[in-house]
Amino acid sequence: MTTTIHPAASIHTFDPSRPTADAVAVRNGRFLAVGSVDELLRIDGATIDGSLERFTLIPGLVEAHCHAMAGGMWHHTYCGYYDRRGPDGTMWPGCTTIAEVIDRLRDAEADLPTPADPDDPLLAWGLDPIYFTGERLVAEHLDRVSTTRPIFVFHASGHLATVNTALMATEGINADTDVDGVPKDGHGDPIGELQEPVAMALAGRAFRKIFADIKTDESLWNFGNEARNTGTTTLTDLGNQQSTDVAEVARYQQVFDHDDFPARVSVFHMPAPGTPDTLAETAAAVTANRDNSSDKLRFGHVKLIIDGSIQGYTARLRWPGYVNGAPNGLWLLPPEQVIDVLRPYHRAGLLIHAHCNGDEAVDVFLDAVEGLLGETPRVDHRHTVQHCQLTTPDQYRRIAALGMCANVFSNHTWYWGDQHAASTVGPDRAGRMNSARTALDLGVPLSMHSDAPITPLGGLHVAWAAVNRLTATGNVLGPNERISVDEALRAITVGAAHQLKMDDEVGSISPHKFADLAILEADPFAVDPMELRDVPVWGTMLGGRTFQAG
Amino acid sequence: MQAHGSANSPSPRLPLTVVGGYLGAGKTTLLNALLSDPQGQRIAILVNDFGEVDIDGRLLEASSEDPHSGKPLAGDILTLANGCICCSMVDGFAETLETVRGFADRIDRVVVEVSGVGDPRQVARWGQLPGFTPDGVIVLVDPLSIRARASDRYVGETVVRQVAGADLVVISRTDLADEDLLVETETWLATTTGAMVVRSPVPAAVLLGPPLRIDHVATDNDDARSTPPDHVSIVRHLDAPVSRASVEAWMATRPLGVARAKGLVRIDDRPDDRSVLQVCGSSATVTVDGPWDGGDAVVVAIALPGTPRAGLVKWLGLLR
Repeated sequence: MTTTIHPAASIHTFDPSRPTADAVAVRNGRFLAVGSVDELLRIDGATIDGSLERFTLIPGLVEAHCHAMAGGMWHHTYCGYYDRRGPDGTMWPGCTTIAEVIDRLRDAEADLPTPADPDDPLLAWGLDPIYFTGERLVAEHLDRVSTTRPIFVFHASGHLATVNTALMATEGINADTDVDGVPKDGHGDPIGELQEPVAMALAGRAFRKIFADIKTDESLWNFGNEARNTGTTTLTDLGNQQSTDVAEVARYQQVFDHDDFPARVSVFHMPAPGTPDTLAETAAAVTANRDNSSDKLRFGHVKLIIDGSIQGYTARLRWPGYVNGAPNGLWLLPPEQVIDVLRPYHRAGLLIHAHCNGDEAVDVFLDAVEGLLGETPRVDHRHTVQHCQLTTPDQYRRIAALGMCANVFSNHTWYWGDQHAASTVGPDRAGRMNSARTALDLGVPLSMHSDAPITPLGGLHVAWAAVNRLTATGNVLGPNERISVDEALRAITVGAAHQLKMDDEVGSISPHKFADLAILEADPFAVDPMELRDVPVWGTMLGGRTFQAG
Repeated sequence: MQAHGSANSPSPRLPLTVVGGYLGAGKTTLLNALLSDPQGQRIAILVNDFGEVDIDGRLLEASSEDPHSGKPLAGDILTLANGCICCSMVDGFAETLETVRGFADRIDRVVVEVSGVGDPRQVARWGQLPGFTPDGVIVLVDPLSIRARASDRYVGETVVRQVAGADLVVISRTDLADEDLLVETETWLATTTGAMVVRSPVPAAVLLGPPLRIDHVATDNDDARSTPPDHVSIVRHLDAPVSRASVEAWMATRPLGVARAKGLVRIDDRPDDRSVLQVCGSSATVTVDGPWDGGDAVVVAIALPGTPRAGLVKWLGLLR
């Protein structure tokens, strides 16, 4: 039985009894005590490990809304607008012009075997042409990379792809193609853009390969490595339709339970649509699946999706809706059925997280939970509104009264804040989006998330976005909704752990909890709050073992 | 009955019909009726969840095998003794259609059930993929609840969008609604959608159109096998390619009462291709299906009871 004392430059525990300390003592993968080095040396047999003494330690970050598929795109070439670090630590500079996209793809093409195999397309992802003023990526550009190898560039929105002439030839996309979303030039030939899923499905092998690669073990390892690189020690797979299948459980156990996998993962089941009978069976299967859990892998909660996305104009909004006049969004479940769909899970005692981007979707979810609590009262259920982007003060009061939690999508302000102000909800409501200040002031248990792969995994960026509310063009959007660094870091540690029903195990540096740490090269409380996202992450500790960032 | 050369072979493209409508509009009843009595057509029905279809256990085949590999299929396909199959779309649309394509040699058409809040017009776009051809958007409407749904705070827009995007609206539960309500419903629909509106019960031949394979159709003008007795059906054989202008005129001037029509023809500006003419309610389309492979060109139309035959004859005569 060894006890190791790790002195550090500074430690923020987020434990109210002892908010700061000089060192932590770890035994059997858990925190034994925090305190001064002298205090901790009184523990029998304790020895000092000085390897962390130049770092700042905070609880390992908890990402309460991301997806295991987040690691899946790194098989392919990144060509997004922002700099992005890969799971192996490689920094990929953003591609800010079409010329840079072409250069990036040429480099990737040079690494592929020749001659080009039509079944082995070059796949790229993350393209954000919204920033290429006046220029549109088309097949002609990609033909400069290769005229023989099929190329498929998946846009960041997920709604578009651009392909080259070789791909169109291989898959039979030509002047005769009569499919909506295949724009053509003056001669009637397709220009290489494929819009929306039906048209993208024309890309056949390349389109299917993107989704097949998401399901590989390597993709899961990438997911863990990105966690390690960002100081994250607890991840979620928020919504897996197969998570009760024996094969999927085995696949997850093989990777996530591996000693070298650097994070814990809580897997939420996403039920397929069904009848009351099949939903009750699903609730029983999710409950039974808890037996497959371990210290690192958790099963047993439920995720549902009620509406779409705001930037896609598919979220359900209360009046006045979308300012550009777009029709109101889409329901993923019939509103009147939400209570029936949730009932078996609520009655089985399961934790329910529901995706509600728009405020009208929040109304429907809250009505359903209120109805269910009338039928089947439960205490401490922690049902959570996910995304919660346009939630209003009246709704936050209801969330608090119903014993629910909110997990807001803070990164939106940075990534889409300018678009929200200009096109989706207008400047006033854009400044009220992801209103963390209001949520906290009204007593709502709060977390904040990246929704990786929708935005990059990384709690410090999420916290930075909530603290500063800066848009990509440098505007502060909704300054009254900013929160403090302390509040933001609590939200992405103990706040997130609470929503996952894991706050007895992770989320703060406290005796008994797993020895999970984010190991930082600067103190986030000492830097300018505008530099919070730039605090370098050395790596993590998970269950007492350190993992250095790639 | 005589053979019609290679035009008898199944089309390389499967017609894809979409069935939508809000909760309780009668989609499940309609799908179950099609599955239990598919009128000689072998239908692949795509559903969100098997729990929604009530398949007679006696129709289920003991085992299901992949047509290519001979391996047992995953749990997302049921095959029926009458040649129909039922697929759940848990893996998503693109994957499910890829699976269905593997069955193309043993089914005649695809029917997709859209969820109660889905937009059938959007779903119909999947019918544009290679291997398929869009063949109508049918939306069911419950006369007892449609007006309340259409003005509901949460689902009003969704329901109106469904109805507005239809080619053929079927008013269900006509046995429970009185004549005044049915007329009122039809009046409201006339202001909400350009779709053809019919009252249930609607025979399968109208819901799905004439069989794709021409050998299902008798050579004389009356097709006794696939047309319900009170409906009016007419067939015309064409010896030579028809002009593009005549096709356009034909599509633009349909007589009232024509619910369905289908044609496999040659058009003068693409004489080497097989062009498919399709009418479903208010929509008429012409698509190219593949190379012309000989045989007769033929057009079949089905109209509601009471439609004058003379008008139909004249209409088919426009194709020349």
